[in-house]
Amino acid sequence: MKLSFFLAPVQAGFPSPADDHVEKKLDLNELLVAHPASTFFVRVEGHSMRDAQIYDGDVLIVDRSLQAESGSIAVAIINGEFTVKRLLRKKDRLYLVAENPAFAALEITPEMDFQVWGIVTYVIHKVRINRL
Amino acid sequence: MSSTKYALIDCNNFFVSCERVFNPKLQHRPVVILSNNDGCVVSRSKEAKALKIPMGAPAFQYRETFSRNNVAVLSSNFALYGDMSERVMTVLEDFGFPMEIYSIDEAFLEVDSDTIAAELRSRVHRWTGIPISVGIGATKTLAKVGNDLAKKREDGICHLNDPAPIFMQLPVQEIWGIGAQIACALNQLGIYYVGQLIAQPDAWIQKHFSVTLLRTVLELRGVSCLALEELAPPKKGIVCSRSFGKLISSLDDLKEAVATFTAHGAEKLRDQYSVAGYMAVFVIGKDRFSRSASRALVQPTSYTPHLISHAHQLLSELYTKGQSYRKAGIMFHNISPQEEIQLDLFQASGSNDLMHIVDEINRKKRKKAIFFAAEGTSSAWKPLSGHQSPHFTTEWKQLLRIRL
Repeated sequence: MKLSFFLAPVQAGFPSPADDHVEKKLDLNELLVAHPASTFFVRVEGHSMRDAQIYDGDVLIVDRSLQAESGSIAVAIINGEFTVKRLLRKKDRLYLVAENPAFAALEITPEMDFQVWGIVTYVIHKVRINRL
Repeated sequence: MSSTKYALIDCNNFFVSCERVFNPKLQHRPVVILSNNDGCVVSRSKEAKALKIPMGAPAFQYRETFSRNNVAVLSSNFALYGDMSERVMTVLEDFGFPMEIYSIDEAFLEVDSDTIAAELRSRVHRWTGIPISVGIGATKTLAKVGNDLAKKREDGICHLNDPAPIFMQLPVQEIWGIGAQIACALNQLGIYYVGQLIAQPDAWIQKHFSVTLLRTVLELRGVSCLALEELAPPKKGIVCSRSFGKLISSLDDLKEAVATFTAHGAEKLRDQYSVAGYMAVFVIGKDRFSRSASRALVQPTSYTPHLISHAHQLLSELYTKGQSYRKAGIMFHNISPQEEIQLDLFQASGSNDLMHIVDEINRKKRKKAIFFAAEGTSSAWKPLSGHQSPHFTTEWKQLLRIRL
């Protein structure tokens, strides 16, 4: 006859059937932050990026390690001021495009002090109750 | 030949550079960062250096210079600098070379290729916004010399492959590990330049100086004697002190300040799994007289409540009613690893499990969520930091705000 030998102490009472399935908790950082060393959070104010679902008061996740390309939404610095806009390259010209028809696109010219600070990867937006 | 080389990475004007990442208006403008309590200059931008504002300059003496030259004057923001330092070190670590973190803004790497410097530099800058200089040499001491030269170069990189010509004009006191005293003694013997020093016979150096200087000389000759210290050795002494924001004369305020320093020091002890066998408290008065009291701890400990009660007893020996104080601090000595403590039969040892839980919670919250009542909540003694930038990377409420 074979006897099974249990290393774990057996306690009186029925063991939880979930014990065998305990795994780690989900961590949002894993989902949202690919490169912790180069990822920063910023808070935005204003409405110029409304149609890209970036709203007043939202928190953006910005990764500085990513390469800027046409079509990405970037945190940029123009003449010493931060802004968030979509980058657009068209026939050797570079534009910062707002996502709201009320705001005009801005062409980046060589005499401007322009720099991409980081690429926006996610938007954290608090969903509010809207009572109809 | 592929041989191991050492690279010293140093963040340029680190505190200023951290501020500039979040405040582009500080670019191209002279910037200085003041020490705790806004006392003196601890970091300067290139433009501020060009104005001949020295390191350590007392802020009050330079007020005129600051305003005349439109110098941006900021209080230090260690929450920000600590976080940015961790980021820089993480990026460097990711390259996979053996690494020694030497200070908040410096690290040694053992690299296997000369060409890595440009890549190190561009990745750190792109990922963190912090500009660095890279010095590469056959030894740590040569890497350090290389770094000093790299700072003066446009590309921020210096491979010190043939240092001989440079050494003919490099004063000995500029070498890492040669202090003012040794430099002075060397000068008296007619040795002013590194080139002269390394030409001396080993026996002569050892006879007139020490094996430490000989090791530095060997390193300068390209013989590696200093290995990377990948794990920082435990600290032999711990000091926590601050200048107060204003003069303090009440015993209660002093007790709070001293309890806060003690709690902070005790956390450092526990961080390195050690206990203190000796403790001192010191105060510095209005007219700069200083007094201190100390005692051996029968039971070496890192348990905050016991240490605070020692600190308060020591403080009461020092305190004079009616006197005002500008600074106080605590020191721990006789530090030994935790497991070596001999238990004293007659003394209850405090619960270190409890302290580790407190430390763990405070680490998770990244601030003092739990603290001892003795540390108080009054801020009569808190240092001034009148021009501090927000804690951009460590407080949700202080994130960088961008106008869309």
